[in-house]
Amino acid sequence: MITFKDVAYCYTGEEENIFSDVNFSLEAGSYHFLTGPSGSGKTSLINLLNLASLPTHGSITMMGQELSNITRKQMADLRKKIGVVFQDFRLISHLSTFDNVALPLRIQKRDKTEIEHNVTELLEWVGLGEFKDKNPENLSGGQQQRIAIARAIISQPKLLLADEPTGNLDDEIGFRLMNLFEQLNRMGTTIVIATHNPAIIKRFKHPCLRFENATIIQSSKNEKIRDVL
Amino acid sequence: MFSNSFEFIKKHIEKRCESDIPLDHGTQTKFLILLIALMTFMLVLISSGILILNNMTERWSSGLKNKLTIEIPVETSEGYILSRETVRKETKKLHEALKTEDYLQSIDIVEENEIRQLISPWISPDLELTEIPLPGLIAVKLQNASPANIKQLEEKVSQNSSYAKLETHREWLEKLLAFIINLKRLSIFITSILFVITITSIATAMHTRLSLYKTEVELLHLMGADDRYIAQQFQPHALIMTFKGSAIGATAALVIILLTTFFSYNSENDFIPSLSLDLGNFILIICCPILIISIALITSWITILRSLLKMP
Repeated sequence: MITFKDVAYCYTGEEENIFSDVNFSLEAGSYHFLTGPSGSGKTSLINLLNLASLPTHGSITMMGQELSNITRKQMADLRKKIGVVFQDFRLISHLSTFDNVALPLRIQKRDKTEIEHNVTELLEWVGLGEFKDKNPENLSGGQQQRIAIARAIISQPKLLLADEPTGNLDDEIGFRLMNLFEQLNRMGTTIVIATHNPAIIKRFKHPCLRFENATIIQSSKNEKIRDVL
Repeated sequence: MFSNSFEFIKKHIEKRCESDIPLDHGTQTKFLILLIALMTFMLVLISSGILILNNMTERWSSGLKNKLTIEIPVETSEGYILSRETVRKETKKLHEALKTEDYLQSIDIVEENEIRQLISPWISPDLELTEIPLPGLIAVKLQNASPANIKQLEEKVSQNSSYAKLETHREWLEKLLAFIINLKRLSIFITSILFVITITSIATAMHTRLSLYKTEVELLHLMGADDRYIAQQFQPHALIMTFKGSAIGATAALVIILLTTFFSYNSENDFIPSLSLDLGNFILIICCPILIISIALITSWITILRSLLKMP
């Protein structure tokens, strides 16, 4: 599904790499937590995985396509298969909750009736049915996060990336959402979740991609939790 | 009631034009609407000016086609003043001599009353028109104003009268046509400048909007939106903006054109010709705002696509 080979990344205009020599492979349908201390590069790695940035060195192969050799059209098609929950939500403030969630489906030119049905159902599920006509900026941080999650999963992506998805949610809703990710994973979605919440990692027992000394160490499912935190 | 209807139409248009990028009602948008209104106003006026000039030229050219005038002046080339009786005799003699020529379609002596009417605008109202010495005029229409026929007529005139002069109208008509052609060139130059200003303004506005909504554009890209989809999100803004501007500009220009046409009809005389436009001309004039809207939409489309290509 995804292969990183000798990947290094640094911000534009800077010389020092945030991370380098990153090598790992994620199988289709796998579920990984991405862990590491703040500033270690979790968000940058998520940006590489969601094709927001390209590596400064090395190669990334995703869904059979080497990213340095693809056209803009292929890049757009690839992005349609990826759902992302951003740490800062990135909701469009002038659109309603409904329209924010419907955005990926509209981009994929899905049928209007299908959009109406799927978005309404998902919003009910995440407990935002009554807020569907409200603008996100009038909702709480937790509610905004749920909109961001609903938007990421509405198109049933092949790869779901989430950057601290439960950060602003209470435990109950947090676990409900993690259960939703489990369900999506069982349906075949590959999932990578950046988190530093030990309770989540402990409870859901998935292998980790751990940042250590500016590189990634891929742990197995059976590795002890304290080793990856 | 009208303001309610206007609000309803406005909301309906905005609902139809909903996009992922918010419509902007800021100062820059208002300035651009004003600029497009001005461009449309000037384009419509220039276009109608060209069409009116075309119509006038056409009328003058066709009106003078194959027509010539023979004049028996009051004052000879040597400076002698001919009596009214001499002028009349000379005119009649020449008319008699020419009326059998087969290349002439018609030949008529212009009556003195008609000549007085023709010269009246140049004469002071204090002067008595009956006291002014009048030239003799013969209006001639040729079957065909070929150089050979004109030469033949010139020879015939000089054989029969030592005073008469043949006026072909060619010289002043050519000067007038040259003046009109220069006016048209100037109009085309001004129109080109207007187009450049319109295109530059729209492109700048779109660049500004793109940088203003960079976060939203990046987000759409990350969700898999291709450049065409994103460019489409900017089109409603460009359409509403140019539609408003063009409507204002075209309406203002049409009011001026209709008023000018109306007053020119009412005050039509030898000095001010009728500034008339036919239905075809009005259809062409209505195409001006459509042209401005099309240019704006194409410009915004190309500008956005080119800018998006620079984004990851």
